[in-house]
Amino acid sequence: MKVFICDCNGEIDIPQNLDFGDGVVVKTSSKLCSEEGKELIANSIKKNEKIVIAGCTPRIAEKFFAEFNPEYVNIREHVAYPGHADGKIRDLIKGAVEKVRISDETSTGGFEIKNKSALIIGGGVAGLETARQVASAGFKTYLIEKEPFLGGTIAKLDRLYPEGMPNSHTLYPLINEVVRDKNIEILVNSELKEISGEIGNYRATIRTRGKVIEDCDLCGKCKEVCPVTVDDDGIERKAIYYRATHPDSYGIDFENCTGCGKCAKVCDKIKLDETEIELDVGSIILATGMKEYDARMIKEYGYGKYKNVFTKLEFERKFANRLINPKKVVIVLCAGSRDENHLPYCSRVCCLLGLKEAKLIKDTDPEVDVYVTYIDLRSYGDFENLYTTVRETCGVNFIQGRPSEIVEKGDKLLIRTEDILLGKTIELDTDCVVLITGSVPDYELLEKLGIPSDGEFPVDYVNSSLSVDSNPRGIFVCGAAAFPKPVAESISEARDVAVTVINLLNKERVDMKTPVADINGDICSEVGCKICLDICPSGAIYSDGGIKVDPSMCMGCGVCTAACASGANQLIGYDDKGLLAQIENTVKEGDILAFLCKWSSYNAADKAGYEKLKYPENTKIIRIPCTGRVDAQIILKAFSCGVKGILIAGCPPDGCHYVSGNLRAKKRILATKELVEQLGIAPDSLRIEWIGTEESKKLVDILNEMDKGGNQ
Amino acid sequence: MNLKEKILADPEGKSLVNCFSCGMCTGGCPVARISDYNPRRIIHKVMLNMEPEDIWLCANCYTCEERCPTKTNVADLINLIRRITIKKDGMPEFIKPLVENLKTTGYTVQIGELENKRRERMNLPAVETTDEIKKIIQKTTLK
Repeated sequence: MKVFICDCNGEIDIPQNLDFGDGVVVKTSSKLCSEEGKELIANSIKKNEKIVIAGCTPRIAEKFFAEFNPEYVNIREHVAYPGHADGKIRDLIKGAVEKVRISDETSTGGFEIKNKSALIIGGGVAGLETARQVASAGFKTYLIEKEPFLGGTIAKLDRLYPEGMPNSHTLYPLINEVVRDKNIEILVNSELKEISGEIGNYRATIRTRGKVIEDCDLCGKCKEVCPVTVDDDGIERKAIYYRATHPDSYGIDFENCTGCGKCAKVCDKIKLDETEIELDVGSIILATGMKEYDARMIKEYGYGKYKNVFTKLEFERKFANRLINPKKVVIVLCAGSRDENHLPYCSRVCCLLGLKEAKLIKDTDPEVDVYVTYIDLRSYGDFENLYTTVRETCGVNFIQGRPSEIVEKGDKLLIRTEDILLGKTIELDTDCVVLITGSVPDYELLEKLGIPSDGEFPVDYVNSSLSVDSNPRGIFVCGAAAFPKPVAESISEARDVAVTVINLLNKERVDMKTPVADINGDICSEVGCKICLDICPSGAIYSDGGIKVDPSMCMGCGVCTAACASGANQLIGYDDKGLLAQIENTVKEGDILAFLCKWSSYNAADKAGYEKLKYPENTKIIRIPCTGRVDAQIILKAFSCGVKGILIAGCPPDGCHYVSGNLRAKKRILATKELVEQLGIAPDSLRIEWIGTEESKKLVDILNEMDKGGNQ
Repeated sequence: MNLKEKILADPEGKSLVNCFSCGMCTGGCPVARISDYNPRRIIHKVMLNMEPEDIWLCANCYTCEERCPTKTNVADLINLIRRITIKKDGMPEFIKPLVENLKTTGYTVQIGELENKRRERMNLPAVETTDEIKKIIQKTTLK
């Protein structure tokens, strides 16, 4: 093992005669981050040799030395800057050396990108745009669509907000480009059955029903004999039908087709059989778009019971096709949204869709009386113009209040609501009601792709799968499948994902970004407690006979390692034996040991150094990925080594990099306090605090307080 | 402690802070339909440390609670406000006859012969008075 110590251009006084025991060679430098410094490291280490680098904070050092995968020791910000004596340098390096000596191999793995191709699920705007971008970079792209036609939800619409532009403006040029591109293979009436493999080497099984009718002349005989009538969001059609997008032939709606075969008898080009194909792809993109919440669930609004209560899509289609001619319409925003009994979240686009329907009505017939009920009208950003137009130019009436019930009264509907601004209940009679419902995620597909959703949109996954520090997985979500969003935002998100996919497919190999947890199956199967399965914030741990970690999903927080009842689960780079050895060799009798989260509190300690704040010299800081990594074993070890105080500090309650690691840590530390009290240690000497990156003063105050307080 | 603090300190009052004043409670309230009673305004005024009005008008049908999108226990909160008010200011005069009815018959509203005749027509059993409530009241500190 080699230890490289940098004095940062003479800023750090390095103690003389440093000796860290057998087989440890110490080399010093004045500017290790220079090209010469890096050459010094490269030339003096053997392949896979473990190294320790002592110098500036790892926040800076990681910019230069990541390729060597070293253990960092911060002797500048945590020793030299706060003016601590150089003996502390010896202790900190000694701890790191002993940690590295005993730890298992810390190198992170990687994946080969074997298949230079992508699978895109969903043929709406998001899927079409992703396909267009990925294919134009030269990669084979498979676009599968569940329905018989491309276009998704917007193909069913009359117009798009905010301007009320017909959907064709966006959809037709997009479809044309996708169809023209030879790199894109379009599979309609197709669904993902299952996937296997890993990033760069996925195998997807696709089930396709029927076959696209070749040379269809749209004669419509098939439609005439089809006995199945379907209500397609407000428009009646047969189970075999034509939609003016792509392909340019009749297509079969297999969700409703009974398979009677009458159409195939009048046209021999029609095929009803089912086929299965396997595709080898490097990356998978989920772009399944909007799925409407079932309005029947909102019992008090009577959808499904009263014929003139419509969903937004039904109303738009019926109204645009002149199937209904109401003289008065009430548009109910937030129908089932922001509601603990239905959808607790705000679907973001519904207010705007409601405004669009209001404008559609007024554009068509200004005589129609239009009312909009709302809780809060969220016409964010530029959409305020749409709200203004609808209010001022179109003369739509707005009522603040969430309707409590809708009842039928003769051939009219009666809406009972409070008008909050009047502070009174009012009753509105109307010809028809439009329920602006929210969207729901596609749970089934999310689960198939191993994306944790917890019954909500995969917001955490979407954020992390594009972020720089998460491990590569090659499965992305974009458009309204990730969270409800306007068409323009879906398209730009599709481009974001496409760039990431293209970058990925351009590589021969991708490396893991963070070390991951590793489970020893032999030890684990003896206990089989499965605690880690439930607590992983990234959904990376799964049961497959044994309990395993999906390295592409693991973010490396160590919450599972801390929770493991048997020691089978070890976070690489922060395993139990390594950390215990580090503690034993770092601390002395009467020290204060601080476990600081690398995302927040550790940086606060660096900042205390830059600000030259005074805090006790006997403070020893150990950098951890998350406060959730600290467990009772580590705390007891530190106390047994004679420390007089232990501080565990991390991000503020809702700001954990790993969603909830800090909250788990808090629970765990509170329980451990009771344990240490039984062992005769003052519980106040064990503290857990939230200290953000900027809060150097809070950190220093706490450390000073701990130094004065505890002496037992 | 003021009213809001007392409510929040009570296990049944925790949901006070859930309310985002959407008006769904008032919109469906049968009492609000025929009067100026407004359950949303009661909750809102308590939140702003103002004296709520009309707290005795709630008919305890619980429609508000059933429909509330934020799981605010509107009816329970109004009952809690009533209890706190009685503890502080004593029972209002107009409640006393109702309590007397409850003691003697087991119901706050007197059920007369007319009501039972109507029930008979609908094949429902007659409502009989009970002195069980009286026993309970006598055995507790309430007089």
